Amino acid sequence: MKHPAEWRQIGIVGVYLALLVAMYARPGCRNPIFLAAACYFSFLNTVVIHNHLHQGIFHSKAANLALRCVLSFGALYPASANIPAHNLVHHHFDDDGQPDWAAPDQVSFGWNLLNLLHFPNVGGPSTFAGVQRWAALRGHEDFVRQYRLESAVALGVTALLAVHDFWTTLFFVVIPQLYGARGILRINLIQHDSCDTASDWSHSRNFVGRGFNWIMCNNGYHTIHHNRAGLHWSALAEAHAREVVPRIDPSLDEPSMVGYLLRTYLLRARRPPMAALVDRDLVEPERRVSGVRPTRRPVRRPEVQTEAESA
Amino acid sequence: MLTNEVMGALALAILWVNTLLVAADAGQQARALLRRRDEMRALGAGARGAGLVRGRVVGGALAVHRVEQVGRAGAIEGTILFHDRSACGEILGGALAEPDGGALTVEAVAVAEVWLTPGELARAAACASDAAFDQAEGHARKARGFSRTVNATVGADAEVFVLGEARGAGHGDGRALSPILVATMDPRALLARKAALAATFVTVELVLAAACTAAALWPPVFGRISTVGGVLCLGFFLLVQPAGKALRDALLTPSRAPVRGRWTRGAGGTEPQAAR
Repeated sequence: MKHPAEWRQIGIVGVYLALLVAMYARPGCRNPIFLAAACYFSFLNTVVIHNHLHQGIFHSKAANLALRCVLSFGALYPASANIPAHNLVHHHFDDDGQPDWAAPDQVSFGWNLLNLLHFPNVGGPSTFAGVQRWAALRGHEDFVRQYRLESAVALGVTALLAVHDFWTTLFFVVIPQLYGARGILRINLIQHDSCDTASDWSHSRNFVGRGFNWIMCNNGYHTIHHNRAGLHWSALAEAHAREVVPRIDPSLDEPSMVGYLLRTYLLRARRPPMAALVDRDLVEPERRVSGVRPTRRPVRRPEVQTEAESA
Repeated sequence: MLTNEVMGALALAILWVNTLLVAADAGQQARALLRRRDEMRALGAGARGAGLVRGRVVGGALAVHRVEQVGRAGAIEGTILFHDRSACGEILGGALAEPDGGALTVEAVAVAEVWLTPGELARAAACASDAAFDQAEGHARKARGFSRTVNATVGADAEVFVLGEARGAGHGDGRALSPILVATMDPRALLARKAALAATFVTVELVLAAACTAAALWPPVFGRISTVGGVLCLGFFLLVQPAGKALRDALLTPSRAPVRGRWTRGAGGTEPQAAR
């Protein structure tokens, strides 16, 4: 294992799989607490996919491949889809001017809660169509093999379980799997809606609660992750405090995701307008941190290429 | 304890909420298309004001739709796959001969909508020759790719519809039109067809969802037929999402739909990928 902090991610995946096995095998475990926990840990499983596809957890390529297959089963989609969809396009590397496949403006209901509910229905197919187009290019043959293997494992294992016991699989395996897969798509809306994606720092919303970031493996610190995609997730909290806080529009540092969700999607009907966000170091030059230059997105291509290779 | 009955009700609730969201999205797109069509009032012979004028292009090119593209070598040898970076239309200005014999001067506009048929775009984006392919392929194999601009023009003698504001002053005894859109097809008919497509989609979607639900609830629930219904419900849930996205793409107006396309050595042509 490359980093001791990765045990947290392994633990998350282990708990998630244990919950699925428990509900599948033991009728006594089929209760609301186990189901809710499985759904939540399914979402965390996709967070692990995100982190693992940025930086492989293990030194061994075989071990990384095996983990990707396990994670793919957990999410019911091939984990490697993250390479073009997230690492390259969402981080604005390989897009060549194309819009982000998971851009928030793809949904436009007047009632904002519907945008949150509907976003995966649009963002998901956009993403997978984009992945197919990217996979059809020369030089991506290794990716295609990897993608097919992960798809075969994810769909194959789920299908085997369904053949054995369809209804239990549907209710206690597939529903959690799809909850996680759709949840990670929704995060794109939550983290970027009403933000200024052309800005150096105010392009993302951060959720900075300590407990939240412990279980989320620091994925609440999204600005610094975008600007320094190669930074290990365990270093994001410190980098956020050092580089982002002095510069970002303060309204984009949210103390609580639950509070933000309630405020944005339940307690108000309409979508918040595009905020007038300003990077603080543009209006308050004294806030510039000496020795650290604002990092323009996209971050350097070699960094992401290295990530993709290591993944 | 979560019984199969409770979970079945939950699963059907999820299925129907999602089905209705996809339907509402399609309905929203259809309403926008129909609102757009309603704004396109036909202008009669000699009429002034905002509206749609039909005529034949006289003289040189009237408008152009430009698409910036990058082509990259495909995994299949001898292919280049294009994706769009940006697209914009320009009305170059010129003259129209109206069906009743009148003449109309169309003013130049730097940024406007130009609607062309997929065939017209495909012809504009086609590979001219194998030599052109070979020249492009050298760049397409590199990381930066092969950059090009597709210029699809509305040329002389083309039958067009122009949306804009007609005013009295023009060349000779004709009128002048300040345009915002040039189309080589009737835009009202196109918008109506797209709205009808959305309505058909919603109808078929709801009927299929109801059929899958009925099968899943077939007595005895959780028996053999009911299980087949459950499989159908899951398949429907997974497939209605890409179907809904395909519909959204099909409902895009011609100037907003991606052109993309593929060159194949020796084939001589580009296959546009966008449905219109």
